[in-house]
Amino acid sequence: MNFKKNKFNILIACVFSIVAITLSLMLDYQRLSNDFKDDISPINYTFIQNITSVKNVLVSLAGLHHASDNLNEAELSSFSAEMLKTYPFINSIIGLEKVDINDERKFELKMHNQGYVNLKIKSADKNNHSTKNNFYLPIDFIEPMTPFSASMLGLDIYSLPYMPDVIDLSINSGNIVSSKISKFVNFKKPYLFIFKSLYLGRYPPTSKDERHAMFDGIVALKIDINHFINSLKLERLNLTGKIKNINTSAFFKNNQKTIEYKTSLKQLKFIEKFRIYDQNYQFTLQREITAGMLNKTNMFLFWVTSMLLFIFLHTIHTKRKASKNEIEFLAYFDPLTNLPNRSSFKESLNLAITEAAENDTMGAVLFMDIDEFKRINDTLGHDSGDELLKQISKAMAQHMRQGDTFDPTNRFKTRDIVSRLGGDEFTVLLTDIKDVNSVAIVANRILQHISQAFYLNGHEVHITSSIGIAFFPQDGNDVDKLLKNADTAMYHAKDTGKNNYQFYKQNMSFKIEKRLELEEKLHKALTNKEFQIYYQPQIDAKTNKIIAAEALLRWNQSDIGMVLPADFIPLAEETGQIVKIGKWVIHEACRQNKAWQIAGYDPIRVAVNLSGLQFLDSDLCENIKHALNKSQLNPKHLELEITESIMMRNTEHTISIIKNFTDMNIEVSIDDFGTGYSSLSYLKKFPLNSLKIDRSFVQDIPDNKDDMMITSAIISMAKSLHLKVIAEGVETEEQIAFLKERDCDMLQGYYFSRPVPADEFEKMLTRKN
Amino acid sequence: MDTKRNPEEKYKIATGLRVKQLILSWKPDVVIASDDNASKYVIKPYFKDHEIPFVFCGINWTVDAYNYPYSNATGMVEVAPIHRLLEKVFNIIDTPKRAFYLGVNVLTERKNLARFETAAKKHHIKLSHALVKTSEQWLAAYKQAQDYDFLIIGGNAGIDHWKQSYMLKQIKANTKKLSVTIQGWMVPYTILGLTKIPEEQGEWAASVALYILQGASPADIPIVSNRKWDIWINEKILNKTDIEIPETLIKKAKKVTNKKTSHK
Repeated sequence: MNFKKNKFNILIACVFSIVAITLSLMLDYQRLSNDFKDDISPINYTFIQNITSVKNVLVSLAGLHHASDNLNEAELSSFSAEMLKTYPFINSIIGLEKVDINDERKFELKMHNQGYVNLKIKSADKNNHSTKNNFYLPIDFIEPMTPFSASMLGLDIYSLPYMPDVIDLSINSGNIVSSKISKFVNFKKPYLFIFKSLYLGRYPPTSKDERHAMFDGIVALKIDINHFINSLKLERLNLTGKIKNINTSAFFKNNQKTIEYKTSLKQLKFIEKFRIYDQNYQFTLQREITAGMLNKTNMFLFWVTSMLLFIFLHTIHTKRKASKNEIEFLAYFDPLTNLPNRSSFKESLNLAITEAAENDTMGAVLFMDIDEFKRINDTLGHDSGDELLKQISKAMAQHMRQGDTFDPTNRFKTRDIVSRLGGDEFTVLLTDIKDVNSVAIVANRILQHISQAFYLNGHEVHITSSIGIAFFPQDGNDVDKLLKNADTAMYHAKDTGKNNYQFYKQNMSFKIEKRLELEEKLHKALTNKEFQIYYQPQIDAKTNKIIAAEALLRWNQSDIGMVLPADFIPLAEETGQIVKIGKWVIHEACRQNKAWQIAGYDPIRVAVNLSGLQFLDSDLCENIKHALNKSQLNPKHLELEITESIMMRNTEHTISIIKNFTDMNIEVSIDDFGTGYSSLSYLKKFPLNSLKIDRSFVQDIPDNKDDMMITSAIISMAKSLHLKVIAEGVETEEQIAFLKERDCDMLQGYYFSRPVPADEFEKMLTRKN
Repeated sequence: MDTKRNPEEKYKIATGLRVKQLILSWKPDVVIASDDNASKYVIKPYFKDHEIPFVFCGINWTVDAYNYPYSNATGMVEVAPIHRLLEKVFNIIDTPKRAFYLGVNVLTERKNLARFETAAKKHHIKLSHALVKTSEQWLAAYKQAQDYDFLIIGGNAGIDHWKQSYMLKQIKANTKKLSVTIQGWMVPYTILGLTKIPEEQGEWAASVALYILQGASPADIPIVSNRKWDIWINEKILNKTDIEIPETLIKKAKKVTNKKTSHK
């Protein structure tokens, strides 16, 4: 997959590179083409000037001939030399003398006498010297005269290939006429002649016949094509040039010249076609494109830019894809645990229900909740709570064959799906189950794994969980109903002591509904002033006088009457309302105790129970101070009872808070002592005033010897720790006798009084003095 | 070869032989032979159609006497613009009838005289002459020539002890008639000069020699003629006379200065 993806990315990068390099090349070629045109312009201008100036030279020479009556060789040489200096692209200025066939010898003699020893009229064709006219046109003058050009003296131009027609045209028209570009073997290189006919008389004749009759000779220019091209100095501009004759039919329309630019990968070309001096020419300039001409820096920058663009687009694409995946992940998965979330679970369950119906199979939903998860969150912090959820998720996923990695393409796999619905609620979807026992095995396995120790930020934590199980299709045929029923079964598991699983039964729903109803009423109880505090006296074992009272919360619900503490206190703790209610209890107890003092009764202590959640409330001390201040109750008349289990949860924290209380002169006692697992070494550290022996030890005295021994041991231990001891649940004289004998300090129980409302309790109080 | 100062035939032949032996011992790739005597006493007798190429120059008027062309020789003939000179004279003097040629009695001068005689005849002029050996004879002939319509001054090569300042002084004092010359180095002693340009001979000889060294055969290079000349006016002598020269010619011609003593 990755290989394919990488291959695709490399392919795209290559495409980007090719596009960038192509673009760079296009710009380069455009630049080269523009540069070429810029360079061509002056060259072509010079070329045209040169071509045109040929006419000036020939007209000047012809003019000199006609103007001078006696033009001598020295004067013609001098004039020609100057012309050649001015027009260096012309190789030679040549004079051709008309020599009648009969005057051949006379011409040779004349030349001989002039110093041209043994000069003969010679033909280009050594084997044949014929002329269609009755005259020859030997060269009798050439400038510059060099050993090579001198060899042309005497050559009958008329005998050169293709020349007669051109010369005849020159003679008859009087115009400047050019020969075709030729390569006469003696000249070795391509050349052309441009002719201007000379006539007798001062003024050139005007008619063809007259021109023919008065023809006296020709002045001609020999142009070496290579030399002509070289004179344009093309090398310095890295150009090469070429001139050639072309057919008239090839391009001309109305004798207009045409210019054309051509660009190919390897060269730039300028082609000019024109007609001049009765010949058609094509002038070509070209420049070879080499790698050195290309702007490699630009190419590199284009490539780098394309790569940056590619990386940019690739990054955006990758990010978008990642975002899409993340959105999809968040839509169906829980980001904390990576388990499927509620939506995902519902879809999976819905699918499973359908499949079960189609296949006539059975499935189950296990609804699991961590027992007292709130306590973990509150005591160790939310980070630890989250860490615990992660560890639980991992453990569940592993043991339920559930992958813990996100795979959006396979999220609806309908086997053994573990999901997190939110908070500490998990579900397990089991499909195609054969019997109830197999589900029980799974539930037991979960309970077992959850009850293992978890390690959270250095703390070893032991937790339990409760599981409710609903089957489909028996317990429901739609997602919501199944979830609700499993949830109900889970609450039932909680009610039956937690750390167990329960299969859903129809009657559970009734209980849950009742519980929900009660929860709603509890929520309004404070506002409706439905709470009441009952007081149960605590008797000094030595004096038999009331020295304190335990404040006990009672809920007299307006519709259903008195609700038992065992029914609403756990509910208040689970829903967190206990903190608010507990605060009210402290205030009310302080107020009432002060009221009794003000009423003239002997001062007593009022003992108020603190729940575990209250103890974790950071405002607890401030609230107590506030209650004392508001009621003006001396702190020594307030006692706070903390259960042994609360104390042992977070010893350092607890010690710190208890110390705050004792610093305020508030007495602190440990409640329900003996039911927990207090360590004596810890107990010693707590700044306590007293401990209260749990009623379970007292109630079987004197029948249960073990309880009697434990009670004795507790009293002895308390004494050795300098703690006062109070026994609760005292109901018989035998119990009183036993406890007094063991030097128990205080007694509390039905023997003395049930918890009673304040007004009734007031009657038990004695007036001062 | 120094034949101007040693005009004896015996000397010329001996020198020619010596030159031949020198050339054969050196075996050069090309030899440039200047003046008539080089052709007459070296090339013609010893090197005609020889394997060593020769380039001649400075041969006056014609090479017929040496039977050129040879397969191994080419060069430039030195033709003087005699006809052009006489045409100028006709522009200054109205129908001259008698002229005098003053030269030195050497081969070149004798050939020049012959050419002038032919040209004078063509223009219907009777030409007298004196070919002298000394400067005294030359001055005497010069004074004698003042009785003619104009005089033609030939070269003075071959006259020993030619004292320039003395000769100039004498010429200025005794000139009454138009004097003309075709010799560049005689322009200081002459009123009008139409002179060959000796450099043309040398440059041609050198370029042909180079062409031969590049592989060309002398037979493929035609024998050509010089075709450059210049016009001189010597106002220092002219101003001593009553001769009137057309303004156009005076404007066109180069002027002889004191420093100008020789063109050769």
